[in-house]
Amino acid sequence: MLGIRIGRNLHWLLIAVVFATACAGSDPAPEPVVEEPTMTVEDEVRERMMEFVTAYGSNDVEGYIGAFADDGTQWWPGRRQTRAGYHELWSGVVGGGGGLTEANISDLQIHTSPAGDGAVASYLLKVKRITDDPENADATYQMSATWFKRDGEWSIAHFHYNPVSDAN
Amino acid sequence: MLKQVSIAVFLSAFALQASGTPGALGQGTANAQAEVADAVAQLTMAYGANDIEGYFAAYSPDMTWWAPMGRWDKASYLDYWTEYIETTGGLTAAANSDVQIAVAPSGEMAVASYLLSATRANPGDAAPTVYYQMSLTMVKRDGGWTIVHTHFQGAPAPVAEE
Repeated sequence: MLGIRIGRNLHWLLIAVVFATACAGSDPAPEPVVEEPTMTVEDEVRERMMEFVTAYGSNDVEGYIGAFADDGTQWWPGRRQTRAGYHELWSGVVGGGGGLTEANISDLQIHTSPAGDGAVASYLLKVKRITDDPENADATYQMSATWFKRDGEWSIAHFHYNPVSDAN
Repeated sequence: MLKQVSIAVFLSAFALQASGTPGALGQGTANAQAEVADAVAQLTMAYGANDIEGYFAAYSPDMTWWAPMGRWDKASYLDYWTEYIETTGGLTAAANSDVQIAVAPSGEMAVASYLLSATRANPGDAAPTVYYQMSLTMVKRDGGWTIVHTHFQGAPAPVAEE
């Protein structure tokens, strides 16, 4: 009789252990979901602007010129410029040992399109040039870049700049 | 037979949609380009006619801009331009040339760049006509185009007019 009772207790104990083990191993408590912060259009353009200026300041010609749309327009002081013309000019400057040692933006202000496929960024750009003439080493520009997102990629559809020294 | 008809109808509908989608988008962008060209022409017309209300209606209250004097806003520009017209008589003419417009794929943002000539009513000893390189970025809100950013600077007179 005692043997039967012990046997039954062991039987229930075994069931309880198996059940507890199964419960512990089947569905672990879900880890809290950490949502990635969603980038706004302005965030995207701000990030693209930083890449653009970094490429410019580090004399990465292809990285820099690559930001301009093939069919983009540009106003330079006193004249129009094209992507191809700028590419040729800047390649020559950097290839000839010139270029920049630094480029920094400030006062960046951005407007975006209702559909999120366009933005205009205006900012001040301060650069330090590689030059033997210390008086021409530093320059500041008023800048405007209008970006369009085409086929998932941002590129500059229009670019306008003027030196602050000339403007003021 | 019924199955073949269904497949034919499906393929026809697919072909129609496939051919129509890019066409519709292109038409929308073309329409936007025409609307922006008209908005820029209207802006310069109001500017040259000293129509302060009509001119400033094109600018968004939150617009940004770069001008020779640096950053400015709509309210400051309105004060300046109103006083300028009152004290000098404003302009006798304004015209655009070399207008180039690019439109975002959605047709809801556009950038117009052009050369603006402005002839002053009372230039004093200065040249009566001055030129500006203009860049306007516009967005379409509530069915109308409004300027959200302006960048301009003085420019030399076009060679043909010198």
